[in-house]
Amino acid sequence: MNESLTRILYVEDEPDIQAVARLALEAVGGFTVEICSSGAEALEKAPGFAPDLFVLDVMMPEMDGPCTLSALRTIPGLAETPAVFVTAKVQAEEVANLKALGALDVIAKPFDPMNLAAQITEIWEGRNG
Amino acid sequence: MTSELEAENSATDRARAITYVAVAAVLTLLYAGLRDSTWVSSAAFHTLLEVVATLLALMVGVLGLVRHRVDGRATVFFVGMAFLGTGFLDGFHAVVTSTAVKDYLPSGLPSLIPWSWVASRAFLALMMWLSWMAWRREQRLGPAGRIPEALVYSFVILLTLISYLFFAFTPLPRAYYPELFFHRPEEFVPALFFLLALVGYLRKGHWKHDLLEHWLVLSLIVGFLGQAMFMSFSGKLFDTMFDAAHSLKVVSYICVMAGLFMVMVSSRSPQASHHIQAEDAESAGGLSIGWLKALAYGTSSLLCAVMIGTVVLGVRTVDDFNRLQDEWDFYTEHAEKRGLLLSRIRGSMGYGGFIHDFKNYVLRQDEPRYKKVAADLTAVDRALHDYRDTFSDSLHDHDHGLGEEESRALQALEEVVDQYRSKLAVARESVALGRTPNQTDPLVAVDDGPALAAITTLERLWNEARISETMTATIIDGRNSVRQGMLFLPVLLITLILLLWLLRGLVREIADRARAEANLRDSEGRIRAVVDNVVDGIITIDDQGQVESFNPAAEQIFGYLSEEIIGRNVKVLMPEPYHGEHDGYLDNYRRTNEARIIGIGREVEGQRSDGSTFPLELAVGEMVVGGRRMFTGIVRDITERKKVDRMKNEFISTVSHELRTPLTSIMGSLGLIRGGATGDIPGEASSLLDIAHNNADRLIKLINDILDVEKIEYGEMDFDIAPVKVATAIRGAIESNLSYAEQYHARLVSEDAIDSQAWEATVAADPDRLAQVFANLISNAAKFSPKGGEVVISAVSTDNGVQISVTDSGPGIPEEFKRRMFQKFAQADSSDTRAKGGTGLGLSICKAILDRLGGTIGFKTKEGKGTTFYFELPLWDEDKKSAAASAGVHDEGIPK
Repeated sequence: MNESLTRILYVEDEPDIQAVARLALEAVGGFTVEICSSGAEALEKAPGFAPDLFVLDVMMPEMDGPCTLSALRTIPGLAETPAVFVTAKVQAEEVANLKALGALDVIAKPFDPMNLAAQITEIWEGRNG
Repeated sequence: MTSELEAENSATDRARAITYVAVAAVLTLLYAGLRDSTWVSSAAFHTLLEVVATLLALMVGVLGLVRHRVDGRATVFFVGMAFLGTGFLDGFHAVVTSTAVKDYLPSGLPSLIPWSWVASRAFLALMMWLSWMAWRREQRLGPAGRIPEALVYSFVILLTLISYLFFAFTPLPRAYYPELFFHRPEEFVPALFFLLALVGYLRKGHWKHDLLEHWLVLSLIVGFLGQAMFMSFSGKLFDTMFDAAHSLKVVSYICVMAGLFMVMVSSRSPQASHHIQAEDAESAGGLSIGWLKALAYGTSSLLCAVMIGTVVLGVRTVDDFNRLQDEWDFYTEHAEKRGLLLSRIRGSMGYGGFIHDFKNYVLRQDEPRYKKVAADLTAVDRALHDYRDTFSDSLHDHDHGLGEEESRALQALEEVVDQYRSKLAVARESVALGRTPNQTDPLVAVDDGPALAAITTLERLWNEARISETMTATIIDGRNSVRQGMLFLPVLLITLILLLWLLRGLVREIADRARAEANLRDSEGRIRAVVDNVVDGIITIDDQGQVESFNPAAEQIFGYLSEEIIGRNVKVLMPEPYHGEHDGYLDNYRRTNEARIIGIGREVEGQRSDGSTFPLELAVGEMVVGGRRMFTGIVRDITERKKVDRMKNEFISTVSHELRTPLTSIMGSLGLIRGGATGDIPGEASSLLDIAHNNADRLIKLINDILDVEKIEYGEMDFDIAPVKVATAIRGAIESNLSYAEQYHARLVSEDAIDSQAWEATVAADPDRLAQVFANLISNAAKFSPKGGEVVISAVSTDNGVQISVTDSGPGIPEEFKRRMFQKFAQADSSDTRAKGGTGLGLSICKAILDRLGGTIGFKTKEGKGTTFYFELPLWDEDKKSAAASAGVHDEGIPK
């Protein structure tokens, strides 16, 4: 799993944040980013996109982040894909809960856009150790 | 300590037992000493003794009843009633045996005095025995065996009335039986009951530690011996044994009074007063304060009346005595004079007197005899003259003046003397003429008959005067009884003064009690009103968990009526697991005194009568009532508050999400633009972007702070209590706040040399929260420091742990702001908000965190000099780790 991180599937219901995130990850980070506006859309696009990493917002209407992740995990080939949550709720307990769902880490909102790509890379590289 | 106390107690026991034996021995010796005495007093003396006894008994009765109100003991009530009844019987005894009323009763004094005495003694002895019996019954049967007070009242009133009526209408048998060994066998009836009571009280054993019972035993010893040893041997009224027994009765009353008074005095001491108040709550019996007051005032009025009477009587008695003394003196003087004059007359008249000499002169015809006869005649003449002189002077006194018979006798004597004088002349002439005695004799014959008769008459009158029975009896008797009366008037007066003095204390005691009771009633009423109308449920339980009281608010909260719940175990109000754990809980507290819930206002679950559960807030207090441990629980249904809390939390959570989402976009966009992700920015625009970015950042901090405060206060923030080294925490705090301080040109300095022990100590805290506290305090200090100012962080050991302080040299905190320091959004100067930045929530977050960590926070400030904020943290204690952990578990249990 030492391949480098290139493809990120970002699930976020807020269009403004989508725009910021796209800019932060594509322009600043140089990743290939597919952005989905809901869990359903993610489930639809994920098999085709074959991401290296999921980045999921936690609080979303209908399917929230954890639901989306567990649904994504059922898709063949994506069961092992690492995930990172982005959330405004950053209590230690919640972070622990989210990590227990199989997330690599949790990034707090609001994030620093200039630093977001570096932060994700750091998480990605530290995922095995 | 305990054994010392025991030793002291047993020494007291021994001393008291020795006292009892000594008293019995002294009385026996007294009896032996008085057995042969022939002293006889009078009815007046007896009446005086009985008046004293009556007053004493009434006093003891009132004192006893007052005492009963204080300690509620049935024994004291019996004793009080016994003496009150005895007082009435003694009073009756004193009245019926006074000479004033003896004519109106069917029996004479010789039976009335002993029998009414026995009635009073038997009543007292019986009541004393019954007091012991009542105690034993209560001992055996518990409170159910308590004799109703109404029964005692009725019994006493009935017995007293029966005695009154009996003596008023029934002729009594004789009381003295001189033919028997014991002259007054009836005295053994009271003696028997006294003995039974004495044995009972000795076996009861309270005399060892109870002052009153000790004096009761003494009184019973004196009472028993007075009856059995003294009175039974009284041979007649007013003899030595009779008076001794009466005096011992008074002594036995005084013993009980002494006991009551000592208890009263000792109960005024502060240690005892608490005890009394505790007992007060339980004792509901006894006469009402109003009745006691009436009794006390009645007794004092009686005492005053008797005192006035005593003084009047005293004055009159002195008059009487003087009059009787004069009479006696006058009488003895005159009787003696009569005797002397009579012997003078007889000496110069009969043999050796002139009649004898006259006959000798006629026979012998010698000159010396003539002269002797002439001298005798002169002497008789003078004696007769003196007789008349002496007694005709006292004509004013009818009794002692010259009576008619006496006067006639004197006249007869004078006539005879005159005859002899004239015959003496005839005889001398006849002798001169040389006539023989036989020739002379017929010439001078005088009839001596009238003279002898007159002498006999005078002798008889003298004797009559001397032994006049009415005269001697009246005077001697009167004089003796008056003399005794005078002897005992001071005794009575002293007794009365003593009694009045005691009554003063008694009335004051009653007044105190009345006031205390009124206060108690008032405060009870007040408390009752509060308890009934307070919105919180108030439940009291005993240490077994049984509900003792249940106020209306509790009824409403739990849906039970107080009648349904009182007497049941309080756990019916609790759902599981509290329901099952509660017994073990109380049990544990009883054994170890470890309070898990006392005094702590905590949230638990309650169960209503319909089985539904609800959250409630519980505060438990402990109290001791009448020596029993009780608990008060104050409960508040917090269902509504919980609902509101939940709504508030949801609202805050939503708001925070809704606020953060646009902020994330704003911050993200601004960050990307400022970061150059969208190409270069012209200079002007760049500084405006910085302003927008800084303010967005402030907004985020504000939201974070608000959420932190809410979370901490509602226990939603997890605290991971761990051992934290003070030095590490401070160094870490300085390091992470260094860059912030630099913005304000402040230098962060730690003082580790002041208290190295504190510096090396390990405290119990959540490292992250502690860092938050440091960040708030240090950033405040840095903000308010002058340029280049020092912010000093130090630590010192305290009694409870370690106190860490952050000191700046800023402008200090204005006086008017000090109170609001830890309130939310508090900032000394609203204009500062702009200048210094900050949300105004930092200190309230610090306080909330320290409250949760079990620490404290405070500050010292001097305007213009600077401010020191300090907070205290408990030392890490391995043993308490579990307690801290369980507190954490509890917090999680609160619904979010």
